[in-house]
Amino acid sequence: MAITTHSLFLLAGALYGLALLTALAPDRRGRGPWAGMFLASGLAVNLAVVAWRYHQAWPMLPMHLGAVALPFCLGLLVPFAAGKAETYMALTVRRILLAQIVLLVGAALCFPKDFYLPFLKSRTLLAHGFLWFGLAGKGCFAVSAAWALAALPLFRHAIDNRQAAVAAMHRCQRWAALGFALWTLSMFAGELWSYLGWGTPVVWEDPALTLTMAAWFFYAGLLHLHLTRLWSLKSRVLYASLGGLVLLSLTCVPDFGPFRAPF
Amino acid sequence: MHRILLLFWRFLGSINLTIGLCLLLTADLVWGYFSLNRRTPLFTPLNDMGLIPWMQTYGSHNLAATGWFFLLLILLALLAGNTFVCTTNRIVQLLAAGDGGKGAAHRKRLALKLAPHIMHYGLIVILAGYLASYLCTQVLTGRTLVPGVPLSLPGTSGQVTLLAFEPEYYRGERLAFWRNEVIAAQARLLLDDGITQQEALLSCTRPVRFQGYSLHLRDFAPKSLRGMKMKTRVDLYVRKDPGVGLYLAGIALFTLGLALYIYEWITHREATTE
Amino acid sequence: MNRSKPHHVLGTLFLLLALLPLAACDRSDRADVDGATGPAFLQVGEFAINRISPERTEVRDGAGRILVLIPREAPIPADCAPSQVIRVPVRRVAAYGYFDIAVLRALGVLEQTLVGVTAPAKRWHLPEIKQGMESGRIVFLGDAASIDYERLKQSRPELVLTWDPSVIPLLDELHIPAVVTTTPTAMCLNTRMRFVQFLAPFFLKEREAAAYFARIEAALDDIRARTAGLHPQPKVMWGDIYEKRVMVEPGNAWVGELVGLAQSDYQFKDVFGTACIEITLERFLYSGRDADIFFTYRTGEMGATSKEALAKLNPLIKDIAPLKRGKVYAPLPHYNQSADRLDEILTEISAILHPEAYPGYRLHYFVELPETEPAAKERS
Repeated sequence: MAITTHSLFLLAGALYGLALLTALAPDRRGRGPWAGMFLASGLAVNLAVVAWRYHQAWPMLPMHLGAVALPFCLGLLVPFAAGKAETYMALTVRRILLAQIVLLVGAALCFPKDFYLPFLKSRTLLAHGFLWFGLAGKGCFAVSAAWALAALPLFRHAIDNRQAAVAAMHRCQRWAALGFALWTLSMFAGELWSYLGWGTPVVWEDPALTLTMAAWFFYAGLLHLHLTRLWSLKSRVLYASLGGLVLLSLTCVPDFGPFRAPF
Repeated sequence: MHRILLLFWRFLGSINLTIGLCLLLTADLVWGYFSLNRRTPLFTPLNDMGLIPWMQTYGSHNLAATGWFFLLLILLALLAGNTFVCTTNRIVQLLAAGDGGKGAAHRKRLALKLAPHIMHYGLIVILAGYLASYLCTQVLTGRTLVPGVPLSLPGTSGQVTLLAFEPEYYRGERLAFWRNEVIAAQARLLLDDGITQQEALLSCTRPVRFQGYSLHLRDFAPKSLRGMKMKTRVDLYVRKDPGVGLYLAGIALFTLGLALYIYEWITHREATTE
Repeated sequence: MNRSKPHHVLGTLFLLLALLPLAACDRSDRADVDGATGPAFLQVGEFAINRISPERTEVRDGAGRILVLIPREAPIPADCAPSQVIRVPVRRVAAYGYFDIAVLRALGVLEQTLVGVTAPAKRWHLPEIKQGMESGRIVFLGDAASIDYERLKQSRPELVLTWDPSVIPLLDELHIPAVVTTTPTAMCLNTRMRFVQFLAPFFLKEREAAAYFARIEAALDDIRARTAGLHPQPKVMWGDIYEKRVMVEPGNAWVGELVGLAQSDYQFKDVFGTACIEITLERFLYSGRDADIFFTYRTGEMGATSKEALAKLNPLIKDIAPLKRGKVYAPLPHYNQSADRLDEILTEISAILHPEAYPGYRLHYFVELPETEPAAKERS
């Protein structure tokens, strides 16, 4: 079988899947160094896929690269998302992130959109900046949602775990703020690219711009939530977790195509 | 009357309004995606005909597909008002509280505290720039340059002539679909303002500014060494956009605020957390 | 007390939202201000007609240029360049595209108005044009890429219908208005049907355009009725490969939409963009793995005489299912010049997709390619 980006991405998905399975092991000895090794291998293969797609388009921007590059960005963030701590929360965050990566790879394999050819106007660093700042921002948003998701079960015992929930929400906000900054830079790069290429800051030919703006407003809202007493800690966690996941899924929609059997 | 104005000012500056608007904007823009998807020809004229004529024609005759956009305008207007009032209130409070401080350290602290508000004002300037752009831009649609025929810019003595179209063709093997196709399009223009002449280079992402207009490369021919022979031409977007300066200034302002905010976060908040 | 404030905020917001449709209703009610000439504003894909007053109609062409239609005797409006103004009804037209000329035919103005074309006499299948060229009423202006402007000037067109924007600066100098009739996005079925309504105001032939549109709509209704509930739905692809470049009709193109409407599965329905869009080879081959019917762009003159010939021309596509076990159709030479018979073309495509719904149907615009060259068959 010839090695293609598809077969390589399947391999990356399998390695990420193994990393997730290993991370789900209940005790530290069971997990051993394997989760990290599988994740590193998955990242290496995923990087090869991204590099290959770039090779097929450079100096232009590969179309809809987000579907294969987002799992890579997210994978890179896993070691930083929860630090080196082995606490229950940190483990949960890592597991959620790995599950997100596996889901993203699965979706990208089943719904590929890799058939459009690159276009000449994407031959500018602004286009690449738009893509990569956006992907990094989306990765941070995913980490933010993971922290909020990890905090959700804490509300079953409201009083005992309030401190932990506050700490988790603090992390969630921090990642959301970082994501918001990167997302904003991505939008600005996109606007400048759009102005230079089309003479206007908004290119209506691309409907994805509305989802980009939607995510920006959603996270702008999240960053203001702590300023009001109306939103309790629990509702803020719900906003950041479930709302964040819905919004992230929506921003991925333009990068997915019709169903295609992955095997 | 004064009381009503005060109530209105408070209402407009409410943080709850901010969050409500952010959520409504999110929902509206998601609706917008599904309305815009595969209906782009309905919205592309916005870029050249301006907001009001577009609303009177495409917008109002296709409400099922454009309703979200009208709602977006209302929500953005409210958000701009809300952001202005809210951030102005806070700045007044900040300045009042910091009256006694002196020295460089105090000024630095104040600047860092102002970071979110700089971003807020940046957002308002960006939105104002967009509005000016969509309301006041003069667009010359469907302008094409061919060798030897100058293009006159209305309201000026300026003329633009295509001196040469200098494409670079792709000769490599890596991009099979691009072989013998133009990989870099570049046009050499002569800009004549009636007194002086100068040359300028126009490419896909490198516009030319002349006599208050900006010229952007829209399309060109020939595109390929193979296939049907096409005459040399360069299609342009020609725009006189008073909003560009505003939204670029807004972007710069927002970025400055963002940089200060991140700096403050790293040096102050994280240190406190540690 | 703090808790009641947000309710006011949200209440006001919802009130604003409720008022929005009322504010917006105003314009939509005015869609039909002039029953005699059609709606005040009509969008036809990327084209548009905006009737400002009985003396002034503004049209937006495929390149986004605004042209002003005025009665023949009216003075030129002060706010327009001469090459932007078109006096209607137009009496002399030069046209580049087969499609534009077929639409003139549909409007019933071809014989009276057409004075110049960009294809030589031997390439024409329309008797009106053959005769017109023979009699000298219609002239060959030269190939589209090398128009003879002297000949164009001599033919004195009042309007040029073109797909090539490079002629516009020179036509502007000659004060001949031009309309760009192609668009960056592929024409959808509705645009294909309504394009006649876009050209109608140039010739004051709105009634003929309405009749044409009604005829096509009736054909579509018939297709819907005949194919409703039919199974299995054939999988269809439309395009071709030229060397290593793959061109297909996107899902938003009229053929893609028609295939869906006729209870069939268009393999590129998710692809969006320009007509004859270029996509990756992998996607084309993937979609071809289980397709039943393949429409090629190539005519017999271009080598599409049999599946075997097509596979020799394009070794890359020899393994797609329609070439191995399905059906392959090629357009006949007069197909491109028959857009005025759009109802028949739509019906024919539907008959190809669902022959069981059209017993005894004989093809007029397409030909089914045999497995091998007829001569080779005879030899064997």
